[in-house]
Amino acid sequence: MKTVTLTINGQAVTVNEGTTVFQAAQAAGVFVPHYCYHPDLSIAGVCRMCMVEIEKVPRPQISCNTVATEGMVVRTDTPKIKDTVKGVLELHLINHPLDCPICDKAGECKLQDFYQSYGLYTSRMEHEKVHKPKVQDIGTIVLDSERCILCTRCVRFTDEVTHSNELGIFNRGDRSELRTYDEGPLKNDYTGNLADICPVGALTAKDFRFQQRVWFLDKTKSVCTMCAHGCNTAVSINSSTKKLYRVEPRRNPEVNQSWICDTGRWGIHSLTENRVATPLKNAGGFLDATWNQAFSEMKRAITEAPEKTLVFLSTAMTNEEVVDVCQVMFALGVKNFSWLVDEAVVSETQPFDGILKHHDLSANARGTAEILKRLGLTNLGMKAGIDKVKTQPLSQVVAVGLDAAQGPLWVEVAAVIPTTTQSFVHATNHHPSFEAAKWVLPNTTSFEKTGTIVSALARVQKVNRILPAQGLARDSHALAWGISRGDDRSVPSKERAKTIFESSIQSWFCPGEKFSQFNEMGVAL
Amino acid sequence: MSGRSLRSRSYLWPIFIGMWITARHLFFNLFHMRCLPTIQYPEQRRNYSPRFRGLHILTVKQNGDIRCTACMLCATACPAACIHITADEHPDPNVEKYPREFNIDMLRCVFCGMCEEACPVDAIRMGPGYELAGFDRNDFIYTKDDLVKNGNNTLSHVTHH
Repeated sequence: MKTVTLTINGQAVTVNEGTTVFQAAQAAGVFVPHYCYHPDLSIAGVCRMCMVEIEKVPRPQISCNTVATEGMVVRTDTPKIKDTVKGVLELHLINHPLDCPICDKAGECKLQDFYQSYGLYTSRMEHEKVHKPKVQDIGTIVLDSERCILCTRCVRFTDEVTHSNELGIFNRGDRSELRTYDEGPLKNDYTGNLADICPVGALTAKDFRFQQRVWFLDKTKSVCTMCAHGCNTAVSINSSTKKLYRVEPRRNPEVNQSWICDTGRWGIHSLTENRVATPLKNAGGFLDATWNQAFSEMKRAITEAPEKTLVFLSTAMTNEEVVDVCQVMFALGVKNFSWLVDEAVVSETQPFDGILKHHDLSANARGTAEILKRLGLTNLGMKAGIDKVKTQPLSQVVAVGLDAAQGPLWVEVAAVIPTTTQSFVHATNHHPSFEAAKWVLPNTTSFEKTGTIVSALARVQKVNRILPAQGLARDSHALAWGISRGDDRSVPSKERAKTIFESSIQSWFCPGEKFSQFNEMGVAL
Repeated sequence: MSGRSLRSRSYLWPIFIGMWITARHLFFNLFHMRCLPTIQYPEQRRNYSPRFRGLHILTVKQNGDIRCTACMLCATACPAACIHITADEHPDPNVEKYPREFNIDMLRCVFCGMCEEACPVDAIRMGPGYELAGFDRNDFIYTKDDLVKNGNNTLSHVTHH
């Protein structure tokens, strides 16, 4: 591709032909203030904040919509530009209500940020501000037209990404107002992104509204495990209360651009409700028990009849957990392994809606299948596995690593539990269909463990531990370790995951990657 | 023992000295009542400076509703982390946000007044109250209602928002 070389603030930058001045500045590490520009949306050029001075052009130009040409000399730090940006910002703030104390965006609002760095003027506004409707319920999002600065990011999002076109700017001049057509609600599956891309507090997510001030939150990079796509996320928790507040998309052009679906974003609540807190033993009804009892009973049951045991591997487990569980079970003599997936959709590699959503809810089906192959174990397949239990060649079931994200699949597994002599279910949440199980053991959710997974796009990505395990929950590493010993000794799960990663996963899937500094964008398989 | 004199051993002289000092003060005070540093609390009370930083009060709006908008700036500024606010959606869209719960743990509070300074709407002030007593620790967690009562429905200076 042809390249052009231009100078930005005295620094020479070489970029591909067709790149805008804004992107060239970003490549050179020069920050240009902006509201309407978004890397994954079309260019609108309406906010006028990204003004730069270009040599031989008499007036400041918007950098987001100016194509870089050979020999261009661009400056972003001249007094003229500073004055221009300040003026534009003043215009944006003329009718802004400045209700920061009650605005949920405060702390991550671009108006606040740019006022601090480019504004700092005293208001010259003498007239009453224009008032527009506040707190409008448009489905999952609350719209405040008064705070809107008309950057049209949300309008472009519903137009270009979801193609649902619910939002528009109505009227002209200072009466311009963001609204949904026919005052209807938002009707797409990606509404949460609107709150993310809104640079001000005009669109706020109902789910997060007033829950926590953003400056109390710490973000950790991770990966969504609610379906097979593996969208990159940044998860916010309050580090002092250890409470999960929100999941936001993390930009990865190869996987999810800057978006995440509403299921992945707000499904976290179903993962935290109704958790199994302690190991439960079934003796006519569930009684609290200890891990020690659970492990010794599991080891005995498996060693007594390994040929009659079927291990269901949840595809929500990380690669390291799968290796750990398989190796321990194999060492005890178990030869029957089956994964837990919806086999009708597991081969789906692209999102069915053309954006991000998959029918396949298993976060790591690809990794599980691949690992079983590498370890030389046969994957019976879900249907065959269930049939074998029904027709009785197998009479013991150990279901490992069940995660609420795959809740719909639990019913099928649970249906065969009554036909078994003994069954052990390791699951995050309670489910009525586990009633016949002999033991129900608490599992950690994907927010409570560290490891790599392989998404449907054949990408190895790392899930990071964000919260401590809830209650007495243990991940599958601890389970495997406990079963192999038959008693409850503490196990450093993270170290175990690291050892397994370094001994096998690394060479199989992602040579050269380190466990503790895994490429945050993931690597292609 | 044998080294000490009879005067020393009998303690009479030191007792006499002590009683003399007590008696001197007694008679001085009897004739100079105005110089007494003590007051007859609780019938008599001292006047504190209006700038005294005592028990917090929450102010109210003209309509009697709590002024606080639950912006959390006081909780953010608080060096003792003693302010606990739970915000919620107000049914009136013009109010939008209000504190469903507003608790101050007075045992943790250091009465520095940073909350008062951080408040953008004059909702929290350090009041004149200084009587802080209770029978158990829960008595020292002042709720929203306690704090409004502390201020006797003081009106906030801020009328916008």
